[in-house]
Amino acid sequence: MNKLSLISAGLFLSLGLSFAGLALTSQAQQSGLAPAQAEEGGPLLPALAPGLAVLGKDVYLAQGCVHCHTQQVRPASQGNDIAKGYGKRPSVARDYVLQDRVLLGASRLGPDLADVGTRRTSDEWLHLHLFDPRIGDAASSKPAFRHLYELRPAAAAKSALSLPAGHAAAAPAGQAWVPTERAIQLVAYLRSLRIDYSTPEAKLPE
Amino acid sequence: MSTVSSVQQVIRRHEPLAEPNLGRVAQVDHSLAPAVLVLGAFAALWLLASSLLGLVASLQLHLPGLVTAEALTYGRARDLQSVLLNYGWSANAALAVGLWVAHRLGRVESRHAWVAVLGALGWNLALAWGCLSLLGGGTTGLPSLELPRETGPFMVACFLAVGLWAAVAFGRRHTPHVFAAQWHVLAAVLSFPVLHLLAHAAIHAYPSDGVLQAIVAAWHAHGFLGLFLAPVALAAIYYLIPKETGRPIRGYYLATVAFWLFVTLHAWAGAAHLIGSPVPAWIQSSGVVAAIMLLVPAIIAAINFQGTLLQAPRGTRSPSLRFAAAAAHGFLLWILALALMSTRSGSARFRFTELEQAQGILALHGFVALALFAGLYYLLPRVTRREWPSKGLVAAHYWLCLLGTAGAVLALGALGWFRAAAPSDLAETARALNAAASVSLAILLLGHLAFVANLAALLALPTRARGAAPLSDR
Ligand code: HEC
Repeated sequence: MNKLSLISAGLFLSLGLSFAGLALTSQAQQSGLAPAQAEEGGPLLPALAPGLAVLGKDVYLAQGCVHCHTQQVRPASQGNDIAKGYGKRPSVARDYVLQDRVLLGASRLGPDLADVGTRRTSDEWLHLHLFDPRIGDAASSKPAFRHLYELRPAAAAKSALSLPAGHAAAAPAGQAWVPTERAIQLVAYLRSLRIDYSTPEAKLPE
Repeated sequence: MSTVSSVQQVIRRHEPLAEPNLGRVAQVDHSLAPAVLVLGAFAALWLLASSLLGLVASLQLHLPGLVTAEALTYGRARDLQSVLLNYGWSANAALAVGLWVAHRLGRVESRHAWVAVLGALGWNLALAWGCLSLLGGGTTGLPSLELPRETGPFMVACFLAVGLWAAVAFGRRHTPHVFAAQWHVLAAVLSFPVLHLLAHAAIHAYPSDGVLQAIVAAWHAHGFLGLFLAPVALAAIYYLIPKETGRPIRGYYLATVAFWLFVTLHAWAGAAHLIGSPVPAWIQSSGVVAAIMLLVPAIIAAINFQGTLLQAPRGTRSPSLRFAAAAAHGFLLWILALALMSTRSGSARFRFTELEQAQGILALHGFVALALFAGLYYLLPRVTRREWPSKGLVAAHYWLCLLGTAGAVLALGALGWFRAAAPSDLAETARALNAAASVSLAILLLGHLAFVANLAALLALPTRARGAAPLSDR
């Protein structure tokens, strides 16, 4: 243990082998993955997310949502995600092939969002939840993302939020809270998060 | 900036000391002053910033309306906190301790100290720039690789400008013996550049599709801790325990085995953070195996460390030894927690819960930071030829560190446990335990304030008169 060259060689070998083993082999194994038909003649899935949702992903990233929300449903043998209703089938690698940044996440202070688009189908609900999570759940510990909303003259506001009566942040008379561009993109992104399709290796239960 | 100017003053004040009568060891120490002081000052600065941000994030979990500034909402504060803890405090302090240990044990003077100083300045400038971008929301969203892609190669170059001198010191050493601390430092300074470059390449330069990114990120995150920070921390412990107890390390012949097991297993154990994720099953299995097998080198380290400590004469312990001993216990607990969380059933229950955060705090605060503090408390007086101005502040720092770390680990660990046991109706419990975690983090911050105040006073002191008794060591 007194040769610089030996110790360095040992280290580089060990690091190189682990990188090759973990990253390069899975690259080789998965590079062929692409959207596929679950059954003959079916659509190719997963499908590309709409443009607004792609922009919304940047908002999701920038707001640090990933610190509280994962996007992966584990198989029933490795956690109770499916029992909790986070998804109807486990996530598989193919679900992510079209994503340029994969946000599996590592911490769940809130629910998993891989399939949130099938649970939460109302833009209005999502906006209210982001504006003030305590509207839906008084005990929520989640920060409010009010900076994604702005006050506008009520007459001109098309998609004003309808806050519950007496809400502490209720808009002053004549004005209304409306989602900013970023909030609209973010909600489009959340709506696009869906595992509502089968793939050859993971079928939705009938 | 006052830190920089006082560092410059210290450097300047050291000029007249470069005299032959100081003895080899003192000259080695003296030659390292510029690099070690720049690294130490940045480390201290980032430590405070990161502790404060960690507190800001934690407070929001039980006082949800507290922070309204977008730049400091929970997610962003967490990004900044973890980047500053990893790349700010831990990396700078690890480089300072690693450089010093490598030169001191090899009895090699550092030449061209300005290269290392420039490297350190570059590293910290890049970090500061990256943090500004994180404040604006520019994270990549990948744990441990949050900083913008542009920083990657530049920070590796800066790291090499500092860290490679440890390898140079190893190659040019004047001693027949090689100590465990030396291999560990070598492993650390060689591993980080490889880890960081390969991960950046796989994520940014040749972007890999799909879940491969998550695999690379897990490999990098675990390697950063296991192959860069942990080896330096272990080096500090290997160095200080025999030095400060006057006893040789017990079972020293086992240390070589432990070293090689440690570096090979940590390179694979990252995959244990992906159990249940949509990645190939064999990758998950290799992670499980590696993480559990890490118990073997941990047991050897326990024989080495705890075995030696048990044999050491009782009596007052130097501050460095207390920190080093606590770090040795923290290390063992961390590997135990890692192994438990990496079993299939442990992961199924506890993955994604606060128990994982507790495990991270145990690793970074309960082990790495304590060992780095041990090193800094030992080396800074030698490098600056001054005593720590306040013994009381050192003691306060020690107890506040232990209290704060234990409190945060226990509070978050309990919360994770409850969440796994009964996920519904957790709101009240969660609020109470998150509040307990915040109090603990505030205690930790207070402790670090004691450290930084002491450090600032040390840098402001006049250098010990030249004729004064040299610090006791060979
Ligand atoms: C501090 C942690 C935290 C952060 C940060 C956070 N969330 Fe949440 N989120 C939660 C919690 C906890 C819940 C569960 C409901 C509640 O308590 O409000 C939740 C619920 C949700 C839900 C409803 C999920 C469902 O299944 O009903 C959505 C959608 C959501 N969050 C989106 C986001 C987005 C988008 C962001 C970033 C802008 C974000 N969250 C940031 C903690 C967080």
